[in-house]
Amino acid sequence: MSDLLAALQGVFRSVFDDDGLTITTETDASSIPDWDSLMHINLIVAIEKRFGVKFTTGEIARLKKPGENVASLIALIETKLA
Amino acid sequence: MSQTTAPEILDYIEADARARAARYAGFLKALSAAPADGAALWARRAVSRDLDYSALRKLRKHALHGRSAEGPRIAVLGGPTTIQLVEMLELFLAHEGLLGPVHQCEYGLFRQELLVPGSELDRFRPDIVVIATGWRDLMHTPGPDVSAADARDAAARELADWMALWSQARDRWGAWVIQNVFDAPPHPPLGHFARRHASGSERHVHRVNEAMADAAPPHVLLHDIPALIRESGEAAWYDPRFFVEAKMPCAPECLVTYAHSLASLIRAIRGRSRKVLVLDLDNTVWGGTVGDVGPGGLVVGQGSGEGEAYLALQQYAMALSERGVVLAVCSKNDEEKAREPFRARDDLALKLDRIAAFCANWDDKATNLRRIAAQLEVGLDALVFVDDNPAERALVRRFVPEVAVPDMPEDPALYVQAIARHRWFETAALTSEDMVRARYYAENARRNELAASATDLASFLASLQMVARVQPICEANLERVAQLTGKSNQWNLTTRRRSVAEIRQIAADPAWHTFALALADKLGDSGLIAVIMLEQRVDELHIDTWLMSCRVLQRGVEELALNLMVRKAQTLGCRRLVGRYLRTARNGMVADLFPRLGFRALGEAEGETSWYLPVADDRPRPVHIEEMQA
Repeated sequence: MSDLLAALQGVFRSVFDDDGLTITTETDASSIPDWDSLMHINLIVAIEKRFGVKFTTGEIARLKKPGENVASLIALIETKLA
Repeated sequence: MSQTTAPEILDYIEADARARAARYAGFLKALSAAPADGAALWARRAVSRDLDYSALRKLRKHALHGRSAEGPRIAVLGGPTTIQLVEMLELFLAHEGLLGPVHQCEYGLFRQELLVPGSELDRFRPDIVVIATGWRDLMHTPGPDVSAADARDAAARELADWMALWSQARDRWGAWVIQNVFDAPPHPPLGHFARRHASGSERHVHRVNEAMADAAPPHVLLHDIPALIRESGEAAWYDPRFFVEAKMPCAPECLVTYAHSLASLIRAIRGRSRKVLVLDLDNTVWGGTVGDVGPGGLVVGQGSGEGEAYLALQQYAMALSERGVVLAVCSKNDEEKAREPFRARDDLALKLDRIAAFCANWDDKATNLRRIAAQLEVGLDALVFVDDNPAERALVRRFVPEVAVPDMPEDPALYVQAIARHRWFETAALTSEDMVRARYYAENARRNELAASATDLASFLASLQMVARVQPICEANLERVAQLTGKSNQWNLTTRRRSVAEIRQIAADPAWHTFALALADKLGDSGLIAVIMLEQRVDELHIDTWLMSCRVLQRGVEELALNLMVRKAQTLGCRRLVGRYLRTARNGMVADLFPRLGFRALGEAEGETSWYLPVADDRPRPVHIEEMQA
């Protein structure tokens, strides 16, 4: 598991309040039942804080859509941290 | 409380914010392992505006366990979405023990909810309506090309609309209203010129706010959103991504500030604002240790930046005192040494005669804070304790958890801000009596000293030369009556909260008889100190409401009040007085009032007892208070 994925897993567990939650690069909004539009904002807030990055409005909306998953999230964070 | 409490919990609770952050994960883990009730208690205590949005959310599952029966019914009506705001608000209300049912309306539907009879809000019957609006909710914003007169008309129409909503809340439910002061839209297209241009949205917002401030009736509290924006910084507050994407009123992190601030007003409505500022001396109100360097060696006053910083704290304390916050001192010192700087120096802003309780000795501060609360006749939960020493803060947090203890920064220049940011002293109204309250307490402290020196109570009471002014509730005393009715918790037999409108109705109802008592003595005027509302039911006179200020305990006011009630019952031809005691978490001090005054038991039910007193042959109880019908 990459460092970023491991760190993200911590954020997901914290936001969804589920210490047993395991995420993979394939995980997307449909694989976590609580991942609705409200929780999405909470997730964004927590990720921004954890990694010191800022998402654009378009990215915030896109990350929840079908076809996007944790892999695309990691890619996006990596671009921002680079 | 502590025998089964995990050390991770206690270590977290007693630490300052910086140390707390590192201990948060361990604290949460210990909470999850604790029984639900205990975890709820600690989670509520941990709620703080020092936590960020994500960290606070994690407390919800523990802190919201079990709502308080004392919590008001709160409706949050937003222009923008209020879901996350309410999540935060619930936490801060739980922290205050004031979390009751909370209702919120669908996005953007607040006008309909308020105006349409039978709406979900109407059925909810709120005690407090929070109108959580912003500039986007204004309806009559003029364009930049209208005349100055038309712009003023637009502001008047705007005000009329909002006032209509406020009236609905009062007329339908007798509810308090918390109305957001409007923020001006950021980035005015006219730039600085917007400030002088006759029309346009910026001037409109300012006009509306001014008009609201002038027109707001006593049941409406204004919530100063622009002040919160200044505090957070405009760029942080208006993170526009969260409005366009999620219709949130501000950035999530700023919701912490927003909800905390709202809760401080709700606390004020419920009479839970703190009343006393307790100050340590050495390195808190002046730099240096007076016992070591003497009054002349202390760093305070003009001439050095640090000295001015300490002076600023003293000035802040005095300014709070001017508006009714009581000041006290709690210092580890020899008493004479601690008092010396106040006498020897004329450049201190803090004056000895404004300090209602002066506690300087070598006992631990938890014990001394209990003494101060007892001397001032307030609960420990009325105290805020300011001390530069982290060890003292930790001790107080552990042993007298009711006392609020702010983290204090190392730099005295930041002291005022460190205290003020907690909004502990908010008020729902400011009466002329608030302005002189600090003096009452100082006088009361002297009365207690006098009582300690008098050989018997009767001669002491007689020496006070007390005069009671007795009035029915009327327009002249209505605001103060409503204030006392809204926030008296301890000496209050039934704790029935009533709005100004409801009290006015009672005062006008021929079946009701009311008294408002004010008290003065040779040491000063205590102002309005008791409210009584009696309802005649055939040949019985029922004591619906009887509450008193704790400032005047043990002075014979109870007996005087009872004499008044008996006399009223006799005049009306009633057979007996009937009284009830409704138990709350805070009114234990009057649990045995009725039997103490000679009432006989009538009945007992869950959480209440009822009593009666035949009045036909009742003789006035002796009191040392001269009665003046006003």
